[in-house]
Amino acid sequence: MQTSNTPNSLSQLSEPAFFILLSLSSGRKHGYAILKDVEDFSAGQLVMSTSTLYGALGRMQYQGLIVRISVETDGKPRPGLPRKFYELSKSGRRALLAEMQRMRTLVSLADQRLSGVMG
Amino acid sequence: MKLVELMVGAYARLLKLFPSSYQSEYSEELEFVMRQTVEKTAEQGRLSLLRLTWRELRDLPLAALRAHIKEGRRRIMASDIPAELLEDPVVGWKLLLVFVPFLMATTIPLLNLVKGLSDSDVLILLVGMLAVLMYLMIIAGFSKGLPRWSIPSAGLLVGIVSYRIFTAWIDATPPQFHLSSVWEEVLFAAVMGFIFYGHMLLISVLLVLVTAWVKPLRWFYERVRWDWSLLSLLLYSGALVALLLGFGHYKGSEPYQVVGLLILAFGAWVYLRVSRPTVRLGSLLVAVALTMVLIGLGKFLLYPQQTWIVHNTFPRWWEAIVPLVDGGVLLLVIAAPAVLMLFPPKSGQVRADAA
Repeated sequence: MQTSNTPNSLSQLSEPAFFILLSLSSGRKHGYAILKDVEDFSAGQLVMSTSTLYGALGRMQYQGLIVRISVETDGKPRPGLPRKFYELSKSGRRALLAEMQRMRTLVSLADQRLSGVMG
Repeated sequence: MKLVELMVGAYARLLKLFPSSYQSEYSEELEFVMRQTVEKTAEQGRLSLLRLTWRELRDLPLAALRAHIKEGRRRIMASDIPAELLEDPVVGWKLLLVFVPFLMATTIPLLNLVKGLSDSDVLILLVGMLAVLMYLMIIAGFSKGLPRWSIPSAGLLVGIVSYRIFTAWIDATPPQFHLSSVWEEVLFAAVMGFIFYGHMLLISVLLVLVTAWVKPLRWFYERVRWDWSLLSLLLYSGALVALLLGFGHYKGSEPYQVVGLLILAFGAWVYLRVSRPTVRLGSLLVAVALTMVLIGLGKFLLYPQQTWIVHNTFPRWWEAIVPLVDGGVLLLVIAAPAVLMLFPPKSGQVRADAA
């Protein structure tokens, strides 16, 4: 009886969630890499704090959009190296595509309206 | 480098604001990310570091609060109740269905208030329609394993059946007591309350046991084992019966009944909005207690206006105290399922049962 997390039910992603999914679409990343990647490709429009990043990552993990992967270290300490990575899940990929489609539809609708108004 | 260490150290201390489970899961990772961020930002100058500090300090308290709320919910829901037994929130039309028995019960005193309607076809039609809707809900509820929205209706049916059995039992063997004092009368009222609500409890427990054997209903049995407050919700409808019958021949009791029913409906609404079983039970108990106090108060205030009091041997205060005694018994019966909490099922049990 739990609610399903279909892309349809998550059709409107938050801005951080959308950028995180977009960042992970090119492959698995650790927290800092996501943070920098989002900052870079959003041209500094979205600069997340660590709290915001990990809040979003936790929620998305719970929603099944991303997967957290532990890197095996064979019990050996690896100081200065991340041991947790994040990866896009299948439903995360579907949610990203659905969100992009939603945005395209919105832009298309806006274009239609503006072309009518502005001649 | 000293500044970097200082900032990361301060950040590590601030992470103590998060729940311990969150800390053990994420603190190492967060510190790593923070260290990397501070080191890179330090290369851009002190102003950038200041911006970073502001951003972190701005977002961290809310994130910590959210983590605590999430942890609280997780403890209540996920760690205690297996996922397959979790119910969807009762919202929208399901929430309206919950109130059908309360609405049906409210219709009777409301229409009594409107002169000329009390014996009219309109009353019969309206109450009849609501009764049909309620029975349909009970059937739908049973077919779906008694989800929460159907429980008040099923509870009212249990209350009506209990009342029928109780009156049949009283008619067959009228109690022969010689009650010499008012206190004995109060004790008698308590005993009768225990017999009536005892019937309700017995029938409700039998219903739960039946659901354990009937496969489509087993979901209800499993849920009751994890959340005993569901059984309390079933018994809660007994208060509806008490409210409708409690005033007996009292004239002018309708406003008290309507307010009492609204209180009971509100209690049910609170029950559905909260997730912690103890708070759920509390909402039901408070609503019943308030309703019973209202009946007592209503009787006390209405007593002098009644024409039949010239033949009445019971004093005014006694009339007012009986609903409180009755209510006390009902409160005990509603709280009785809490005993089940002492025997929680084991984690793997439900999965094994469900398999």
